Amino acid sequence: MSTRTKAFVNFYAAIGTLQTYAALDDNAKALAAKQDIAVRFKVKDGPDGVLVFKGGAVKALPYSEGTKTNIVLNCSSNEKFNDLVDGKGAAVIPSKGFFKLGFMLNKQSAFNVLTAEMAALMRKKEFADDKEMRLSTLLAFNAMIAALVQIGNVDDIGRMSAARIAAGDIGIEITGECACTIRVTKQDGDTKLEYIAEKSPSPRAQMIFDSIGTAKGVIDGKLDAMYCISTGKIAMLGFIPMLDNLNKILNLVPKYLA
Amino acid sequence: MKINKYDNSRKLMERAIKVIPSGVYGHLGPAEGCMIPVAAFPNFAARAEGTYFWDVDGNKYIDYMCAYGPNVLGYNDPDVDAAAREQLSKMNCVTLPGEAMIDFAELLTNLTKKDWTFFCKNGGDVTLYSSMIARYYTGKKKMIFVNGYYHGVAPWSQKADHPGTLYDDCKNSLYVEFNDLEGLKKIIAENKDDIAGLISTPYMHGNFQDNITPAEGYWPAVRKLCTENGIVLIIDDIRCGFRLDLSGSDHYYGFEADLICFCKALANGYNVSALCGKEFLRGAAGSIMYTGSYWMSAEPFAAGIACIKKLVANDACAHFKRIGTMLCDGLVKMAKKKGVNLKASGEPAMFYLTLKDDDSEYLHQQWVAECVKRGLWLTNHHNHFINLAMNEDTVKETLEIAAEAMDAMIANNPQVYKKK
Ligand SMILES: Cc1ncc(COP(=O)(O)O)c(C=O)c1O
Repeated sequence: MSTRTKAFVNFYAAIGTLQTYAALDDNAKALAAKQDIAVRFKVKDGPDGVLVFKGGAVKALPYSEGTKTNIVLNCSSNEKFNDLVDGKGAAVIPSKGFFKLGFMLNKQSAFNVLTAEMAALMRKKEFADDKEMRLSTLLAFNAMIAALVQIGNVDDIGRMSAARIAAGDIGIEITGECACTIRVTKQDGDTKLEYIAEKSPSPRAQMIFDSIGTAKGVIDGKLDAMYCISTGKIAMLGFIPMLDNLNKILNLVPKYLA
Repeated sequence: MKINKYDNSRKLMERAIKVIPSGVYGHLGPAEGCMIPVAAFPNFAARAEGTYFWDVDGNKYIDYMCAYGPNVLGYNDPDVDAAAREQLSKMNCVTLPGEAMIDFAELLTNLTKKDWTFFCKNGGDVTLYSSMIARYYTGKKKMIFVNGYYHGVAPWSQKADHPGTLYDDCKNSLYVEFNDLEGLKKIIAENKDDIAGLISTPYMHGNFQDNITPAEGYWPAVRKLCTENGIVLIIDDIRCGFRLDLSGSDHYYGFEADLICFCKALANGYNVSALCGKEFLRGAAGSIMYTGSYWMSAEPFAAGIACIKKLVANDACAHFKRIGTMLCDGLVKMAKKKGVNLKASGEPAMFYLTLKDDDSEYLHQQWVAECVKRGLWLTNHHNHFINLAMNEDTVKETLEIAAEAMDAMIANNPQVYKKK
């Protein structure tokens, strides 16, 4: 496992899943709405991203020149950033926004409450009701896909697999629940994976889970993917080498999303 | 036409999945076998004869996968089975090998114009052995692979991201494209004095891609480069062997390999593989301790002798080419009439099919599924095989099913195939 890849996974999948949480859950949305802020996480030799809270919606985006930010948090290494995300409270040095630091430091800030609630929800084994189980599964599903994309872009072995994925959209779907897209593009011999939280208009390959139960089983490691394919619980269609190589990256996800 | 039902297959799959990982793992299973959608395919076979097999629900198939190659004469060939039975009545797996091993080695050594033959069981056994011989003989570590290759499942022949393979397993692997002489020269120059061998199939019959035959002059040029640079030239003829040329596919394409690997068509389904080699590698081959529990069993040797003799007596490769060409021409023409762009590539004896009307293979997968549901076994991702039991009538029967299946696929995709 590489610390650098872990940092990207931490920003875009661990923190980034707040985006899905706020979109799917009304309470989360209300909490998120309490904050109107753009926080840049600038990690040396690692992710440089912005977490935006606006009108109850959350977004985790790569930083680009000119993006408006209220706080800039500098991390001197990927290791320190990973410790921070893991709650080991490593030092961050704000270069901007000293007065808004409560966002990170105050345990009751919307950011901290949301992340803690989301993590607990994803870890949960027994659920109050079906709704909670669905939410937990969809969050974990989203985190898995978001992590996969980062691993394919950053991890050495992941990049090897990504390089062999043909350009185009891969559609991933849980029947009747959610659909998302991994967009694969090629430029100057480099392959980039991008996670889009919407159904692709023209996927070249598709992986379709027949139910939320199947998705949950696979995420929890209780159902093995080959079993699901053999019994039709997961359908794969279209240009299969794209999925074969994607699955190799998927195999690396549990190492990063413990 | 009757549309197949698979109730018994599904019941067996339910049992299998409890005691066998994936239910059916590997290339005969739904995942690796690209059974898309799984609902269109059966899971288990009950019997086979000639070029047909029947599944456990009694559905009959014309089988163009030929067990992925081994069915070269027709299933249950009476001559091969009789030879095997006769050998079994005497001995099979014993503390010493029988004479059949020498008989078979003599037959193959002469036929392939090499100097010795070494037997194992699977294709992967001999490809691995060939790389060990190349490394031991040259004292060098690197192996050149041709992208799109498949030489078996062992880590040395996988890519570093393959589950169960280590990054270090692939540290000495170099990769070139098929037909790319300039790329090969560059790799050789960059790794001078480090390359033990080059392993390649005689033409590019990789999965999920139009198959590519060698460009004019490609193989003689590769041969020359290998000789000049002390690189052992290994031909993996596991899939093509005895389907293009009974002397081996190196002869078919006008060059000579140093080592050549055979398996699938050797014994019509009896379990044996073989490595044939040139004199200068005999010592290295003999020095490496390489063996297996069943490698010298007599029954497959007897079957192999009967199989090869029958292939020779029937000028089998000419038959494969003739029937394969007739079939491919027929399929492409039939599709064209319906406004469908179907492409056949590779050698006719081992034709590869793709429907070119989208870039995602959905339409191709749908057509293949409709074929299977009607008793024509094709795959959507792999080359096919011709056997000696196929004839003009088989082709006719195939074209009828393929046409009806294509109509069904067209009807299901009105947005692509607008009514003329
Ligand atoms: C070209 C080629 N090489 C090697 C192998 C491996 O042979 P086996 O599966 O018998 O180990 C195969 C099997 O499909 C093959 O097609």
